[in-house]
Amino acid sequence: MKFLKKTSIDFIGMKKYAFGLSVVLIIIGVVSIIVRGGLNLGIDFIGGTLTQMKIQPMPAIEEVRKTLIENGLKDAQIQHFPKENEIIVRVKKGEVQLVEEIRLEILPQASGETLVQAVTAQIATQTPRMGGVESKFYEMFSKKFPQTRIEVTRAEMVGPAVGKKLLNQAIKALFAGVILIMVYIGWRFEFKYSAPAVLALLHDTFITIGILTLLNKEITVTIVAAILTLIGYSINDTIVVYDRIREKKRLFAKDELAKVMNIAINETLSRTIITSITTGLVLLSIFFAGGEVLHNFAFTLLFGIIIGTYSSIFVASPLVYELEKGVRS
Amino acid sequence: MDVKEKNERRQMRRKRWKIILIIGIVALSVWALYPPSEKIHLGLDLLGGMHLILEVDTARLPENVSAGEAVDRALLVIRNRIDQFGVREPLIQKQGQSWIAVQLPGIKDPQRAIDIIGRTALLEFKLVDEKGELPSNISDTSGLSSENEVLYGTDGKAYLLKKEVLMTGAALSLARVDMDEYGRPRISLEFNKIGAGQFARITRRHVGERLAIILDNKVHSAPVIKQEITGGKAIIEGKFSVEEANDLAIVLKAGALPVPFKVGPEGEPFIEKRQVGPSLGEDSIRKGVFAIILGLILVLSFMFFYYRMSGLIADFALLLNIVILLGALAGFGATLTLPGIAGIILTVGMSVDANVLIFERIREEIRGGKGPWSAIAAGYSRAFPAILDSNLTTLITALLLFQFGTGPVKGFAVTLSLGILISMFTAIIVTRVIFDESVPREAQKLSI
Repeated sequence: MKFLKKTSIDFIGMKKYAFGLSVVLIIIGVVSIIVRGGLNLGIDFIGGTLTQMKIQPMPAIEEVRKTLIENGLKDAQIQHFPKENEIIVRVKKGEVQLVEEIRLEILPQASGETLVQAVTAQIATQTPRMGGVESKFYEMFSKKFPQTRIEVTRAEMVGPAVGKKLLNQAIKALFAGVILIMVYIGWRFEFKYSAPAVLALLHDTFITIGILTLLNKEITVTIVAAILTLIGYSINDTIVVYDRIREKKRLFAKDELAKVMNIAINETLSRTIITSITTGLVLLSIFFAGGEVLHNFAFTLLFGIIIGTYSSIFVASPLVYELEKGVRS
Repeated sequence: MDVKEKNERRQMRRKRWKIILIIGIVALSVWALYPPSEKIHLGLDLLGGMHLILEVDTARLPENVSAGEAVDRALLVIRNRIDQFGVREPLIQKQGQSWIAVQLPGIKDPQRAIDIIGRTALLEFKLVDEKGELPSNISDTSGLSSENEVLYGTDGKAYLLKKEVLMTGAALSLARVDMDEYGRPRISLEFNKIGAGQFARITRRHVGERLAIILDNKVHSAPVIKQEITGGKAIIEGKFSVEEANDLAIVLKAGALPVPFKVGPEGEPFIEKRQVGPSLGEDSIRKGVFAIILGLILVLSFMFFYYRMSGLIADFALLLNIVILLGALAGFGATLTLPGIAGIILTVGMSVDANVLIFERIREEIRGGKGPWSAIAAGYSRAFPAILDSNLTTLITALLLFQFGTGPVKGFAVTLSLGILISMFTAIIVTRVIFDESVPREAQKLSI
């Protein structure tokens, strides 16, 4: 079976359109970051709380939102999973103070009477007792919706100091990755190749972050992991093309560079597509079947392999061409 | 014997070694993996449990206590407490300068754990009841007189104690390790004013008896009172190793000077908390395993449809890759997290890349007019540099992920790195051996 007959597409000749498209994508990213007022950083990075609850039967989501607003949490984000009867409530750093207020409001009630304590103790043997914000949500919702069974399935709290440290680490990791890759390519190929490769990587990273911001997706630790993986994948593709250029260059005269590059890209094209397909297949299975936590991870990578494949062909190699041409003239 | 024959013999020998190596590695992996439910450690996000980070509040430490010392003391106190409620594989670690990470997998009552960890350390001194006898059934305390209690030592030994608290850590002002004239480690204690008076009274009345040093209801030492000790200075002697003496001094200090923790946004003494209920964990495992199997079936069938018999060889290599990967995870005692599962799935997709590169190259060589046997040889050797360079750069990013990541992301980095390394073995060496065994030198056609 074969998807592609021998192709001879003039990829280098298309570089003007490709650069144009890339610029448009980057502008979209810049605009959405400006319009949204910065990246939508998750609680991992700026601190806050996340509470995942199974509520059976699930009240109307508007009712849930109203309950939160009544309790002073008007900026809490609700994510609803109707199939699982679950909601995730995120409260970010700035709003944690409000959480403090709920604490004060509810605590005196809970500890006032011995009878109340005995009942709570009984519940504790059935469902794990939880402290912190999640217990406040538990009490808040069970008071509002007495007919429901509520189970807190996940509770996360990240202090702002931890978040800041993680953010620093993430930025450092991205930069260290870019530099190490640059050195490695410079060593294995030529330094003329490493700058374009790294530019292509930054291009992929930036456009992916821009699209995530455009869709108002939260940047979490898992998403940073996905972006680093996408860098690994994209550089993988770029190197396969570079390797072929390295091999073919010996066979042709210097002034036929565009021809060499086109041959290299065309010859590796079916491999590029097939690897994208196999990786895409597994990512699709994570996306549809892997559950909520991995959903956005898979989404980021799915988008990432498309943009990574595109940049290896249309950005990294044409940039090498431009550099080589520039050096000669 | 001519050169050609000699060469062939050498190749045969090398091939035999490769086959033995492959069988050996697979057997080792299966052995490391069996039984999987015991050998694969699941992370908190899959098993359910709690992860906490506590930060020692260095600003509130007394001037003569360094941050490092306070963290060590807090570590000991927390370890001591967690031992009491029997979590299977707790992890208590220092992180950076002043952070302590605590992981309690599979914990049933997180609030109780939080209460216990966050409490101030309680150091008490009680007398050992030398006259009474430990009940024959230690867990049955009904026969005990109301003045007695049974507590356990750090070595698991039971002590019959008099219930009355003679002194608490508040009486101590200093505890440190020094050496006697023979160079044996011992512990010097100093009491504050009130403590000195109390201690003098106790030692006067109870010469010859043993005084138990108890931290959070665990007996850490029970030295015999040799004489009345006035002046507020005492020495605990014994056959201590330097380490044991240090530990005991830390226990004493922990009780005397509780370590203050920073209070997080929820008003509890930690700055990060992640808690996953067991039902969500089970759910994640179910979905993760389903996604792996689905992704695997898709890739396996795609490779078969696209490359026919050669695709089946790649499929076989891929399955071996997963077996070895799981074996390696079990063997290294690595923890499998939900992102770790994603790493395995991604390995499935990316590790066939090496075979795709090789197969595409073989097809090119066949198109270029080579026979199957030499096309295979050329395909493998020409695809190799690209495979090596691309995998090494991916490995660079995976290692950075490991460096950057917290628990779950680390799990992803581990499975991805191992997957890449193992794929170099399965996708290159294993498939090559199979081709060599199945494609004769004079073959005319290759199913690829």
